[in-house]
Amino acid sequence: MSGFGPEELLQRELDGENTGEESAALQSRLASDPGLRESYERLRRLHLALGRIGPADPPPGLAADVMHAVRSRAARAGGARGWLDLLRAPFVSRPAFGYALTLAAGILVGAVFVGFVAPPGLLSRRDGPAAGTILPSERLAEPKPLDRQDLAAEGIRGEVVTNRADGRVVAEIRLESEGPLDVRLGFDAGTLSLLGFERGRLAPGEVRLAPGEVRIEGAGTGRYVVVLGVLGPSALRLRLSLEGNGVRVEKTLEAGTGS
Amino acid sequence: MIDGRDDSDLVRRCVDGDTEAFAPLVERYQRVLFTMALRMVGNPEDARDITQSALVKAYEKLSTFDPDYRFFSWIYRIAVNECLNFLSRRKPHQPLDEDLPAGESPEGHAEARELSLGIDEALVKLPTEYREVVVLRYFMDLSYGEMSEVLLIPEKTVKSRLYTARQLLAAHLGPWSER
Repeated sequence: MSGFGPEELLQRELDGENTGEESAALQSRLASDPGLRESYERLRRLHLALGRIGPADPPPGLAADVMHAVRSRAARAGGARGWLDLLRAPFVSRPAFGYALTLAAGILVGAVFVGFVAPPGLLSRRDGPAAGTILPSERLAEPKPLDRQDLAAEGIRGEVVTNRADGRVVAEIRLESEGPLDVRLGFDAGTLSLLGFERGRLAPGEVRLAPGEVRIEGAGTGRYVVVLGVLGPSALRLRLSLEGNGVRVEKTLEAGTGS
Repeated sequence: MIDGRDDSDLVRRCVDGDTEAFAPLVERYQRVLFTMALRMVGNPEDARDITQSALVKAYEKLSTFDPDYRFFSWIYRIAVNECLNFLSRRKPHQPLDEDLPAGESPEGHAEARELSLGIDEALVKLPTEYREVVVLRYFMDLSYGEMSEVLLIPEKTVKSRLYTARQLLAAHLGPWSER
């Protein structure tokens, strides 16, 4: 007989792992040992009962919600990946051209370095290094908010700001609250689509995302950012409501127009 | 059961930028992942959130998936980790949802439902490392080898945990298992 003890033989029998010889040996032990037989019957009933419990049906809409979230992430990542693909493309399709391009870029960077950073003597120039900015000054300015509203109420301080960045609407909510708040940011799902949600590392709350609404249950002191894609050409508005601490605050926010 | 080669093709298309190629993977795995999450955490709403989170995380990490391994092992591992993270955050001894779906029992009778609820209650009382082997073995129908891949533990450990888990479950079920 094998080196397995009786309890292990029971388990192996349940899993169909015993050889014919081991099964026969177990049956012989069961016939002569009522305690072991009782233990086997108990485990066998459990094994059969567990096997009879079928899979559970996933809730309706789960797959759609997953794909909605996946598409939003893909859309957000699209911009960054686009640049990477652009850089990578010459190396994939025409490697020689790619390396020539890299060499040209290196020469250009070297020229800029020598011209702007190197000591004056290196270029035998007498007029010193150039000064100023490469970017036009307006590129360095902060984007102008489309709307900025105060969220002050009993036990609540904060503000909400809407901006446009790369054709997207960004709503940033900064809160200080004495208690948990139910925050809802509503939008017209026909003209805006949810692309992403971020929050500060310590910002509390459970986030529920749905078409036309972002809800934060148990929100509190922290920063919350909602990014929306623009779907159609019309005036865009967001509805923000905060409820908690015995008060309710409602705001309508301008978010520009669709392009 | 699961066509691993087809999974790999879909994963490669996703990594190449075809977001819609992820949809068949979601359809294919949502049921087993939801079932696992439900049996692990004992609450349909939490199980839904965990399943969604696991699938979205899987999408975000697709570029790290090694096609030499099986996709289902990889995605189960993500879902198991989501369950474990959830359970570690949850207060101990939180009661089970009484409306926990009992699954599709062939009998479909009150006795089967009672049995299913009894097992669910006993299951949620098991320590997590024993609960996960029972869930993977009986509700996911994974072999010992597959469980070893998903849990990143040797097959021998899988067997010994399942052995203990069965003993504990039978003890928790008490009167029912004596019937």
